[in-house]
This record gives sequence, C-alpha cells and structure tokens, in this order.
Amino acid sequence: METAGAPGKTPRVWAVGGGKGGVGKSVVTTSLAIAATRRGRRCILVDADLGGANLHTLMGISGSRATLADLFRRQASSLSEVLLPTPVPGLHLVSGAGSLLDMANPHHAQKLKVIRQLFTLDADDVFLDLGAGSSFTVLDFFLAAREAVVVVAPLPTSVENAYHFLKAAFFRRLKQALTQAGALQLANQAMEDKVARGIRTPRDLLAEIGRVNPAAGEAVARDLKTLAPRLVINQVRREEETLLGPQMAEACRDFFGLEVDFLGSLRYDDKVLAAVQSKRPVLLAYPQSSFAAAVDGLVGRLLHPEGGQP
Amino acid sequence: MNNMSLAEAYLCLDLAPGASPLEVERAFRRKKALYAESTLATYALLDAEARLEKLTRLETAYRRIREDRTRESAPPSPSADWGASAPDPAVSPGLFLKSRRESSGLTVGEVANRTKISPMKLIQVEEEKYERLPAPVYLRGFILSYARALGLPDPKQIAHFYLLRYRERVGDP
Repeated sequence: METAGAPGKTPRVWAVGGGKGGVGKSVVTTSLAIAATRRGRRCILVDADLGGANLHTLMGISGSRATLADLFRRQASSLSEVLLPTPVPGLHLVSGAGSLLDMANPHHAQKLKVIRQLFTLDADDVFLDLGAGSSFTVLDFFLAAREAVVVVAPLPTSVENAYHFLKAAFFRRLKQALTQAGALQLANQAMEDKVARGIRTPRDLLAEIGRVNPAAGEAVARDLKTLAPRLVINQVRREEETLLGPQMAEACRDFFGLEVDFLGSLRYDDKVLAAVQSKRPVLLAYPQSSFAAAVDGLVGRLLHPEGGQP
Repeated sequence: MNNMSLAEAYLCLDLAPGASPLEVERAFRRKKALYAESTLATYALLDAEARLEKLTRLETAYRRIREDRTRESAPPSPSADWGASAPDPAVSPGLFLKSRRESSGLTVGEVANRTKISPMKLIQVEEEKYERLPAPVYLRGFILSYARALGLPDPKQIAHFYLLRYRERVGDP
C-alpha cells in the first residue's frame, strides 16, 4: 500500500499520448489511473481529448455530466467544479466534451489556465489522456505535464504516429529551449550548413550548438532533459514484439538524445475488448486478468522507478 | 571512408573506449539490427537515405575500432584476425574455439541454435573435457559444425587438431 501524499502537495501530472487512435491509449490511461488508485494514491483522470472524449464510456459513466467544455464556456471556473465520482473509490474523472462545437474552440489563454489548474488539483496523481494527433493543443498538454507516457502498438502505423508525435513534441520543446537560451539563430545557421557540419540528427544539432556555444548548449540540454517520456508497448501478440520497446528507446536516444524509459509491454488480452464492449473498466470487470496484472506491474515501476526521481 | 576518428567510432556504436571485443561485437550487431530496413522500431524515424547512411557509418565505426585494436597486438597470425593472445589451436583447440566464439559476439546458446548441438556439449568441447565427449567419429562432426558456425577459414584443420589432442588424452577406442 503506497502512502498517499500530504494534502496541498502538487500532484504528479502524467500526460499519456501516442499519436492517432487505435493503440489503446485511453484504455491504458484509465487502467493506469485505476491501478494507482488501488495502490492507495488519490487520483484524477482527465480526458483532454477535446472533441473526442471516451473516458466516461470506458469508466461506465453515462447520462449528462459536467465536462471540460463547461470550463471553456465559463459555466464553471475551475477543474475541481467539474470533477465526477467514478465506480472506483478514490478516483475522480474530468470528462471531455463530445464535439468540438461543444468546446467553442478554446483560446490559448484558456488552455494555459486549464494546464495550470492541473497542478493545483487536490490529488496525488493526475492522469491526462491526450487526444490523437500532434496538434498544438495536444503538444502543449504533453510538454506542460511533468511526466509523459507514450503508448505504441506493434504496428508500422502506430510506430510512425509515435515518431510523428515525438518529433513534434521534441521540436516544439527544442524551439522553446533555444529561444530561452538565445540560441535560435545559432541553430538555424547550423541547420543551413548541416551537411558540412555533419548534422544528421537532432542529437547532432545539439552537439554542434554545444560546440559553438557551450553555455547555450548546456542550457538547452538541461531543458530537454525534462522531456523524458516513458514508453508502453500495448497489444503485444508475438514474442518478437517485446523487442520493440527497448529498440525504440535506443533509437530515440540515438536520434534525439532523449532518455526514453521503456516501462513495459502489455500483452493483447481478450478481456479488454469484452470490458470495453460492456462499458466497464477492465480492472474492475476482470481484476484477475493478465492485463490487470501487467498494468499493476507498470504502475509499480511508474510510481517507483529504480534509483529514479521522486 | 575511414577518416572517422576513433572517438567518433566509439560514440557511433555507443561504446566506452575500454569495451571488450565481445562488447564491441554485440554493440555492432545490435545497432545493425536496429537500423535494418525491416526493423519495426525504426520505421518512419529515418528515410531510406538516412538509414543507409547510418548503416554505412556503423560499418565504418566497427572497422575503425578493429583496425585500432589489431594494430596494437602481436603480429597477426593466420588463425586470428583480432590478434592479441588468441590461444594456439594446435595446443588448446577448445580454448581456441571459445575465444573465436567470444570474438564473434556469440553466446553458447546462439551457437547451439545454429549447430543443433546442445549447449552442454559445446561447453565440454570448449573446456576440453575429453572423457565426456563422444567417440571420434561423432566428435569430428561436432567440431566441424562448430568451426563452420563460427565462419572459421579451415574447419578441417581445427577438427584435426582437436582429435589429435583427444587421442593423446583418451587414447584410441
């Protein structure tokens, strides 16, 4: 049993992304939240899939309900006003809206407000299900969260989407970091001359910036270190697919210079489909399933990385 | 193409300069597999041109490291291209096979998969446990299989040396 954090402490915000649909991101997000709650943490699930909300369905919550849209339409002023109880004691849900029209497309300032509020929620852990794709909204949520999780399925389409997503997130963060360090022009110049300078990857670019301006290079590197996503491979069916996680982690290190931590693989489990069809969370409907056990293992590692950060 | 510095070569393979021959082999194989065209894990990360360039750099890095290490050792003997302290196959054929296996970055298990000889038997061959080994007619086949799996240039010679030592120790059945 984990000890819950002291009240008033900032929650850990976990943003779960991975590009376009089909990989099981929402199922993984809800399952992680339930498993963490079961271990004694006070958790909040947030459906940030603006216009494509699913979490309420996966949790078996029906009927009219308060959603994030209420916040954007100024009918509620804080996230805590739109919290919904769930079938899991200790776990609350901030539901998303069903359509973009409902959302009245939030301004940047409104999005920032929601992001800021995530960190003032009264909880130990906040699990944020990001939308599909790599729009600025999705990226901003992903980058603002202190912890990031990327879910990938062993399919070329999913791997492709994951890299689109990671590249978008990385470059957005990189641009912010370069601007902050006053090295944006330096980077542009390096890229104009990339062949001569042997710049083949973003990692090479960072090395070159460090060579020309060590102080800026160090500042940028420190900034980028905060982007350390965890990787979850979902819907594994064949033995060789378990190689995907460690290999992608290595490729990300080579290409981006990013420390991607492979959290683990989740094997395909029929029970997941059955649970979704019956509109019940897998961990409640099939607590003895191998999926439930595997998710619990992931959450254990997520909450307590070996020799890792707090 | 070998204007790559030694430092760049180690960096390319993600190795520390003090890495053992086994570690170098394993790193090279692992990276080659990672960037192979059919590998799912790097799909869409690199385009075809970048992928090819990466694979070429890996080969260059590997050759650069081996070049540097062979230069440091004793004059190369015909049976060893890693140089440095390879056992003499005429004196310790089992140890010789083991050292060649390790230089190739292969585990006993991997050789067992290739040759269909059990890992235990392979270890007994390497450790020259002659009393436990099968009769020469089978043993010769084992040694030939093993040597071929390692890609050695003259499997028959190794088998010959091994059987000579076998007869010295066990006598003729």
